Amino acid sequence: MSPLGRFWKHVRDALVTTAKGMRVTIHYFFRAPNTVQYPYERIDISPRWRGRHRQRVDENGIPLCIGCKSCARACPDGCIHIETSKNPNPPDKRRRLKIDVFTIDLARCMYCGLCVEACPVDCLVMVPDYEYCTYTLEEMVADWQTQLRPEPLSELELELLRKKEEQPAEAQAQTQ
Amino acid sequence: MRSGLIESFVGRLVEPLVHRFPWITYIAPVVIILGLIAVAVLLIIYFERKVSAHIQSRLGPMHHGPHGIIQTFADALKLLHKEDLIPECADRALMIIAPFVVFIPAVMVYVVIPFGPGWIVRDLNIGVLYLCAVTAITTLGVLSGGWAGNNKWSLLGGLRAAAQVISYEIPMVLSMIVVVMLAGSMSMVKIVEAQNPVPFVLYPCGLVAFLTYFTSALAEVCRNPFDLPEAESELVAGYHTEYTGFRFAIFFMAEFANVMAVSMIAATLFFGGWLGPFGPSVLWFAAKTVLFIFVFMWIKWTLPRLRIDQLLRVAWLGLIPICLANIGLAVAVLALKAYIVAG
Repeated sequence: MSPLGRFWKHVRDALVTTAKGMRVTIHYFFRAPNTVQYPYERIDISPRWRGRHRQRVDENGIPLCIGCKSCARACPDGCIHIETSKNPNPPDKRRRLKIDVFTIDLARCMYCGLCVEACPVDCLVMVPDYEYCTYTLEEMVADWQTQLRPEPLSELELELLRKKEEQPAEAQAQTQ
Repeated sequence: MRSGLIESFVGRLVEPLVHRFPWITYIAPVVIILGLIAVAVLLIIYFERKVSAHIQSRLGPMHHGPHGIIQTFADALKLLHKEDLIPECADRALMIIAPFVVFIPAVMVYVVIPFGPGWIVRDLNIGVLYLCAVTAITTLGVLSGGWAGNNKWSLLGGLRAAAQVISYEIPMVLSMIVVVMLAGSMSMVKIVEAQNPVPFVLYPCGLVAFLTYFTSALAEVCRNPFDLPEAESELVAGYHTEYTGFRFAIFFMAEFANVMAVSMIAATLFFGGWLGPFGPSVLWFAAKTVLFIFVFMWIKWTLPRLRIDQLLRVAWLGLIPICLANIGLAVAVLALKAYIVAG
């Protein structure tokens, strides 16, 4: 290629590539911005989003937890701590253990959801809530009276629960 | 001698006032242009932030006022609250005077810009030459500002600015020469009037001159991709690293005043200035200026910064040969025209 030809190629390349780049940027200029103005607006998250843990309660406000510690064993981080004692007056046949301590260290939790899958009575759930930051790590240890505050059951779930209590043998067979 | 701007703008309203205090004709244009620059710079900074944000798929300032329109005023106020700091080892006199050496030429440029028919402070018959002369002074202020801070970033920025602005002054002047040849005059008003049916950008030599002018104008006002004098990732803030508060604000204002000035010059020399098919001429001029300012920002977010050797190669081995060839083209066009006219 002659020097003049090379020069002309450089000039053409400069103009063409600049034009191409400018087409890309103007495309983004006329597109709607991606920004979500967080404290004022929030993106929609799935109802199955793995956020903060919640314990579910029956219609009397008592958690469904039977104190089996399946969740604590399933936890890869070992951040669930449960202490139980014998319950003098159990609400039903399955909840014969009284839950003295049930804490989840949310600062150590990696939100894998294995504890939720391990729960045999579907007591422990995760809800789409991600706004629970605290000033200290100690406050991140969730107690079931505070951060794990009970999640009421839906009508359908209450119905199923009632059916289970009517047929305890069948319900036990299902869990095993 | 009465200035054209006063004559047409507030005309009869201030006639008795002017009669009584003749010196007002010298003060009024300065006040009007300084006010115009101050307001326009605030708006351009807001515009720039919004354009930058939307090109990056962001929103930009949103909190202060509707769509963050007061944000720039707030930032300007914050800047004026800052302490005026002069480093201990700095060259005090130069440090104090440098921002003004940069700012005053930026204001002086507006003297010869025709905002509309008759809306010009002074229609100098050497308008284009005056523009080139005045814009070159800026370099001196940038260089002395870079030197005065006694800071290596400042000095490097100032030296880069000197090399860059002086190099790009040449293709800029050479592309303006084509316009002067086509118009047959150096007066800005006559140049606009010469574009009455067809703006110069539609001539082949005019289009090339416009592209070379625009490229060198980008370098002249140190905008991306030629922002080496204040390359943030390399030189902190370049020549104004050591400046704070009001002095920094002056540098900042001069920069945006220069951006507006070169956009106005581009509109005047190549796109027919105030001429438009309908409506008020001043609005046409403003629309063309805003368009060029937008293109400046558009390019800023498209192209990455050049290296200093690439930058100088573009000027000396790219733009200057093109400009010289373009002048030859303009001569051919004019000769052809003269031949046809002569029959």
